[in-house]
Amino acid sequence: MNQAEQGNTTPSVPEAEIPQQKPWRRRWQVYAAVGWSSFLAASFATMLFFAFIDPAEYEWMHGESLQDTRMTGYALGFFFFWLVTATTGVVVAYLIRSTRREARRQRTHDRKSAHGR
Amino acid sequence: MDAETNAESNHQTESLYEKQEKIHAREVEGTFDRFRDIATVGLLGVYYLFPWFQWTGRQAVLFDLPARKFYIFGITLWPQDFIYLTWLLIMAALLLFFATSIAGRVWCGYACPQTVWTNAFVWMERITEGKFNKRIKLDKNKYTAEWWARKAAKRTLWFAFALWTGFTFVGYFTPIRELGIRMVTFNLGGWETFWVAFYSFATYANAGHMREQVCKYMCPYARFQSAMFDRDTLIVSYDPGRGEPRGGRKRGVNPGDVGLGDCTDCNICVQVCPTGIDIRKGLQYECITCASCVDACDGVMDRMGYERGLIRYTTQHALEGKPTRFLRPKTLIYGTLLSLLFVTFCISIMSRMPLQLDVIRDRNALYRTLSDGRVENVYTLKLLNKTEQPQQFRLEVSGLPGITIETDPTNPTLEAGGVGSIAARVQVDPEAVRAGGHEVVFSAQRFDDAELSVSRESRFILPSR
Repeated sequence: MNQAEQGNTTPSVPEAEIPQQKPWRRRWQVYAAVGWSSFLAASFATMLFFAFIDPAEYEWMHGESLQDTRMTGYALGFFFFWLVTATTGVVVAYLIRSTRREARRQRTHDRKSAHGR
Repeated sequence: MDAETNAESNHQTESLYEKQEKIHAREVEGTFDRFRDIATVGLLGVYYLFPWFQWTGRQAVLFDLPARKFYIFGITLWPQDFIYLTWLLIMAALLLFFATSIAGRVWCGYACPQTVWTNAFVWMERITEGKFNKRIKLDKNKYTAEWWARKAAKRTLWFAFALWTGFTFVGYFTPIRELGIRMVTFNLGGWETFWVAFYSFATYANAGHMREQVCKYMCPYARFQSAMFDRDTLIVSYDPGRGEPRGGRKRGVNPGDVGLGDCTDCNICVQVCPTGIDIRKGLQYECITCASCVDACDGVMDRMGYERGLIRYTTQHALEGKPTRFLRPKTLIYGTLLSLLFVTFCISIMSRMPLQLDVIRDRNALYRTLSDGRVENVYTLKLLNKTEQPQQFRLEVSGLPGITIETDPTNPTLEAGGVGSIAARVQVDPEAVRAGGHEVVFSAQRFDDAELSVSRESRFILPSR
C-alpha cells in the first residue's frame, strides 16, 4: 500500500524510481571534456593569430578571390589549432589515466606479494 | 492504484516510473522558471534579430571576417584594434567573476547559451510530445502512429530551429540579407554551407541531446566557479534546520505534532532537477542554480499550507543565522577592477583616433648629403585611414631646428579604409645639429583641420664631420 492510498496529499516517490539520465561513460566524459575545452582554446588561438596575420598575404593561398582565400585561411587555421589542442588534451587525459591504472596495478601487486609471503 | 487517485493527485506518477534513458526533468512552474523564460526570449531575441538591423546603410553588427573589419553600430574596428576585443573579453570574464561572487551561478541558471537554447528546445519538446507524464506514456508505446508523428514533429521543429540558429550565426560574419538570398536560392559558398551546418549541428546536439550533461562533464566554468564562492555567495539551498526530520504526512497536519520537519519527502525537488541531484544533500558542483527545485518546493509548501522557502536562494551565512555581507574584499576587488576597466575602455574607445601612421626608415642608406650641404634621410610612411569617409592629409615633421619634409604625393588623399604608402624625404642642416641619431616626430593630420591627427616617432641620422 503506498502513501497515496493512505490519503497523503504529497505522494512520496522513492528516489530509486525517479527517472534519471544515465551518467555518461567515463570514456565519453573524457572525449567530451577534451573536445569542448580544446575547442575553446582553439577559438581563442584563432582569434589571436588572425588578428595579426592576414591569410590573404600569403602567396601559396592565392588563386581564389580575396574573400575565399581569407575564409579558407581562417577555417584551416582554426582546425589546425583545434587538432593541436585536442591532441594535447587526449594525451594528457591518457597519461593521467594510465598513471592511475599503473598505481592501482602496483598496489594490487604489492598486496598479493605481501600475502604470498 | 486506480485512475481516479492518479487524476486527483497530479504528482502521483510512480506506477509509470521505470528506469529509462532519455528522460528529462519534470517541468515546473514558478517565479524562477518564468524569469528564465523571460531571459530566454530576451537573449534569443537579441541573437536572432541583431544581424537584421541596419546602420547608415550597412549591417549594424557585422564581424566582417573576409574584409577584416568589425562593425558595431557606429564603431568600425580594424585588426589593429584587436586590443579592444581583448579588453572586452577581460571585462566579460571579470563581470562573470563579480556576478558569481555575489549571486552564485546566475549565469548558468539564466543566461548561458547552453541554458537558454536548452530551454527553447525543451519548449519545442513540450509542444510536440506533451508534458512529462504524457511523454513517459508515449515512450512506453513505441512505434505507434502517434509516437512516429510526435517524434517527427519534434525533430522537424528542432531541425528548423537549429538551422535558423546556424544561419544567424554565419549572418554575424557575412552580410545576412545577401546570405539569406543565397541560402533560399541554394547558392551558398562552400565555407558558408559548412559553417551553417557546423553551427546547426552543434546547436541540435548541445540543446537537444546533451543539455545539462554539458554543464556536468564539459564546462570548465562549472568546475572552477567554486573558487569564487564563499559563505556570503547566493546559492540555492535546502534549509535542513526547518525541513528535518523529513517524512510523509497528510495535508494540514502541523509538522510538530507528528515529530517531523517541513520536508514532506515528496522528492519533487529531485524530479525537477535537470542535473539529477538531490539539493537536500547540500551544495554540489552539478547545481546550475536553475532554481527549479525552489519553484517546485514552493508549490508543495503552498499546497501543504506551509511557509514558502524550504528550498530557497540564500547564503551559507544566512542559513547559519548570521548576517550576509555583500561588501567584502573579493567583491570590492572585482568591482573596482571592473569599473576601472570599463571607464578606461569607454574613454579610449571614444577618443580613439581613426588614423594610423607607421614610419619605416629606408634600409639602403642611412643618410645622404645633398649638393647644398644639407643631410637627407628617406622614409616610407604607411598611413591608414580608418574613417568612413575619404580624407586628404598634410604631413609634417618636427624635433630638429630647420627640419623640412618632402613627400610624394605632397598632400595624399586616402579613401575610406584606405592605406597609403608615402615616400618621405627629410632634410636637416648639419651646421645646426650635432652628429649622430636624433629623435624626430612625424605627424599626419586632416588637411583642413587638425581634429584628426596622428604622430609617430622615428630617428634621423647625421654623419660625423
